Amino acid sequence: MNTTALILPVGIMTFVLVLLLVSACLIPRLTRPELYFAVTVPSAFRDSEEGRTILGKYRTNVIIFSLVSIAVLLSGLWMPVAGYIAVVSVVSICLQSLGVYLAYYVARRRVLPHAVAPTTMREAALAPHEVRLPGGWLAQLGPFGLLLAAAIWLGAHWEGIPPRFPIHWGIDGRPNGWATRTFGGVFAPVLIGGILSALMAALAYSLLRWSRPIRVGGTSGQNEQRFRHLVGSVLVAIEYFLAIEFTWAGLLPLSAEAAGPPGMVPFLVFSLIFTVGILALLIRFGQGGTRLPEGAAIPAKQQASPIGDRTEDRYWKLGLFYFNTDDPALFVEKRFGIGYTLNFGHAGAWLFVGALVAILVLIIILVPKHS
Amino acid sequence: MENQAPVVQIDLSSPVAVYGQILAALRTVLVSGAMKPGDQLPTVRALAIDLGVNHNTVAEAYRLLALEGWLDLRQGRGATVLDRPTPAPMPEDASRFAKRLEELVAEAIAAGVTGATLAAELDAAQRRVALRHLPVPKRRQSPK
Repeated sequence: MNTTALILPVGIMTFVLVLLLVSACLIPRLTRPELYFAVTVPSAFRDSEEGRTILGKYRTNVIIFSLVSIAVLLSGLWMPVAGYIAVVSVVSICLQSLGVYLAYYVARRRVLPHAVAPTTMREAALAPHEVRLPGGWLAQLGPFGLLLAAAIWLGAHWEGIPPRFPIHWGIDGRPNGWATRTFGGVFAPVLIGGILSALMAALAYSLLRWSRPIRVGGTSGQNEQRFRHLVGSVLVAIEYFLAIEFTWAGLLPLSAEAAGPPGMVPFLVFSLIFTVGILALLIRFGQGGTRLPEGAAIPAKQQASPIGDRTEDRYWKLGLFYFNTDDPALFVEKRFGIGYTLNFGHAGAWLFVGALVAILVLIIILVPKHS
Repeated sequence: MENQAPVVQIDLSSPVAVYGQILAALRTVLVSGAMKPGDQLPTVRALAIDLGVNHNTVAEAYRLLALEGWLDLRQGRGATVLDRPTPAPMPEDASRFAKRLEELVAEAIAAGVTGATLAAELDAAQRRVALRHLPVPKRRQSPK
């Protein structure tokens, strides 16, 4: 295998690993100030000497694991054996993920002795919950319209589709998977795109409806509302991204060439720009909008107890999984990361997971068998 | 000025039952006129999610407020604020509240709160929770 042909895929994977490295290093400073490695602490702890030491050690561990992962990946350039790049790509991602988790676990154990009880105060605004998806329901029609248009176009040009066409290409650009001109073979991508777009829309709606605002009123409450709107917007943007991706994939039978799928490089560049753009926005806001300008902050001495995310530490398993059967919220804010996670003590969480598994099975069934 | 919805607060560590805290907080908002007749309260489930309590707890508070004549509860329409006329006071009401006030004053003094602070807080509370059909009486100068 030609080593030159591997530079692009290895370069893309290296970029992904670097992106994950940067994200992992930034996360501890993006969470709510009173939550440090998923432990409720005084708001000043993060900037204390001990807090900064823990962060420094965490970042060092993350960097070491990431460099090892990148080295494993780059070894593929000197071992141009077919299939080896795919294997080392998976291994490097897994190795880096494991390293980040271990670094987080060690840091969390060092923070735990400094844990304090969070506030027991709860507050709520007396206004009806109006769940408005960004762009309204009309904006939800865009992705489905795009996929439907692709399906209609495929149907109208059915005879122009070869009886057998490539649907998967190897790193060297040669096709290594084909499908036949059948309903499943031709329409599977747009169907899968429709399913995934619907999933994103449902997730955006559920998250806004069945999650709890932490701060109500004031600048921090407004910032949090902006953050929640941003999360909904990101999910809608992902919905559009998936629709574009699967529309492109769905139209491949009409223009598939032996030398790789057309538009692959622009598509990859678009994907990377999209991902980096979303990450940049989320970093700008911070978890719950806590990195936005606060205005006149409440002096620390007036805060009796840390507010955090208004959940108790004891309901968080390993600081990553929330399990509270007494909490009616289906989604709660992540404690390590940006966004939300399921309350696995809520029956709806398991229905949600079950639906995801069912969708995965359905996609596997829909994907045309390679000949 | 931005029109913000009133906010209720509860303390999960308080010895007062949660439904009682919600009931008292909502009644304070309703008495103050911060929510007008016809306004919609959040649904039971929505308020339960926001406060992090069981929905039956919120339902009980709503039910008691409906019994007091503050809310109209209809299936599928949530809770609507009613135009509740001020009832004629019962003789035992004044003595009941006087007893509660006396207990609260005793608790405050035992915690070190001065009489002057108590008087100022009572005055401020009356002004915050404006009684719609009862004018706030002018403070009489106490004889020195």
